[in-house]
Amino acid sequence: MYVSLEDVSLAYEGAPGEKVLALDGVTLAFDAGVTGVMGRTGSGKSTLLEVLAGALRPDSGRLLVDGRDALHGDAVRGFSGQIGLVFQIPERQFFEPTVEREVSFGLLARGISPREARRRASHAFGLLGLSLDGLGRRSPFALSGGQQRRVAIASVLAMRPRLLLLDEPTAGLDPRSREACLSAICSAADDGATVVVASHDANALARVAGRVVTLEDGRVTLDGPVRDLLGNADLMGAHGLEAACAARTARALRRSGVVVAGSPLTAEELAAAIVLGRAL
Amino acid sequence: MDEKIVEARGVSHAYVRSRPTLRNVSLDVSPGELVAIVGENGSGKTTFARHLNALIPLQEGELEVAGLNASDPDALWELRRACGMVFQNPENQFVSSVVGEDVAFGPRNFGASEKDASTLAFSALVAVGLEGFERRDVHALSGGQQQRVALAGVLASGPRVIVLDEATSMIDPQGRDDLVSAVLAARSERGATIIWITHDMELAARADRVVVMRNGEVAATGSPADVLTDEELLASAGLEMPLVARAWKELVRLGGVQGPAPVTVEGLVSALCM
Repeated sequence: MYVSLEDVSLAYEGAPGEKVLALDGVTLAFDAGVTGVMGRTGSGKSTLLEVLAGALRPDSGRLLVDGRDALHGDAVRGFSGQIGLVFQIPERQFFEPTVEREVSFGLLARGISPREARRRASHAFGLLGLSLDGLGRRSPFALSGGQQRRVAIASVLAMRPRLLLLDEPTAGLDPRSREACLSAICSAADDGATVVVASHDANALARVAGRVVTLEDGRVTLDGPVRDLLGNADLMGAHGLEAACAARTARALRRSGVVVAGSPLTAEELAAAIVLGRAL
Repeated sequence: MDEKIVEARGVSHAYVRSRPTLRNVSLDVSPGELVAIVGENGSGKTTFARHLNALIPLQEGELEVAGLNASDPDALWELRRACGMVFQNPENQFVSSVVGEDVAFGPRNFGASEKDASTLAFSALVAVGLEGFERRDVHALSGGQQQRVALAGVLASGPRVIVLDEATSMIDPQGRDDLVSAVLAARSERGATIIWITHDMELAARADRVVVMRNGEVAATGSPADVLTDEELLASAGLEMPLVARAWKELVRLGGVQGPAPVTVEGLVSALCM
């Protein structure tokens, strides 16, 4: 799905009578693949996702989906079924008594047969390293935090959205659940979805995103290939943001006089960059 | 024998009888020590931590914190004062929406006069870098600031042990760094003992000692240099080595270096410059 925002602004009521600009003239386009969105708390990341999802209506500007106006007319209803939004701490929105009912709720509401719903749910669970047979009859509220997050993401993936939006999907997860979420995000992108992930977790974005956009006070400040941003600790630092751990380590090494080549994003790349630096 | 501020002997706990969450956990902590507890979700970290100030009553084993017996109901009051906790979600632990009142609640509750409670609250807010925030609304603060208010609330009661349970996992990197600095300052200036439950291996690498929990048991305990470079052990506990150690192992494989893996950037610099 090709989605674009043109000069989009949106203000919230802060203190009584005081408007806070959450998005300020944002122009961005998203195509297939994973785009990471970074920014400090309050920079407008969550608002951006909600506007893309059609859950919040901007005060001005245009939202285009596959080149068509998505804010007015009939197109709106047509798109809504193709967009999946995973909120921050999505497990707080569970409401069904069993995991299976939780994950099939959206599918059944869309008129999909119970049999097909189960097949899709089962597939989505597999992507997140979970088993529907094992967990289906349990209460979603009785699962561990990591399992809950994965069930919540699986429920959205089971709908096979063409535009998948995730807000801090890895916050608070242990390494195993985190890796399961990241690999599910990659497989949604491999299947052709347009994926936008808002996160503070530079290492997670370095793992899944091809492109990164940064926001500051509701404006786009940086937009480029993941390596140009998350591999550059000085650039990210200048915007009050964190680069990938490998890039921050490379910077610390350089400051201590160790030559490190390039812009490493992972431990393996850092090692190779040190070897290369020694040869230079 | 050295004095211990936490002495746990054979602590076990089961929320459901057939499925114990904590099995025979024994752990000693020295005063002023910074101990990181790592392990995946469900490994028993939080259940153990909640025993330390009797949020979970002892079912089996023995536990002393700051010389107080955790199973003695008469010691509960003193125990809660001696051992303060900061949780993952700060909003769950605020008792007032005004910063100064929230921070003063602890000392007031433990019997300090209004005036003393305010003084203690003021100095705790200074200690966490939030001087001048007394009259602010806690709900209007960023997540990182809220966590520091929660920490100030704990500091104001003068605890000897501070337990942080995933306290940085839901806040942004700047908020995390500010909280870490505030905790380290509380340790160096007040001599507080810190028990830090975390998924952040870079943070764990800065501890004096790391405890790895797996399936409700202590799988290993030792220095960061020993524990955080044991790839097999960490993998069995669902964990990963810190980035620096992973990069070092890759360097060894590529043939450029040899020797034990460092776990911090400083360690990596000195290992490379040798």
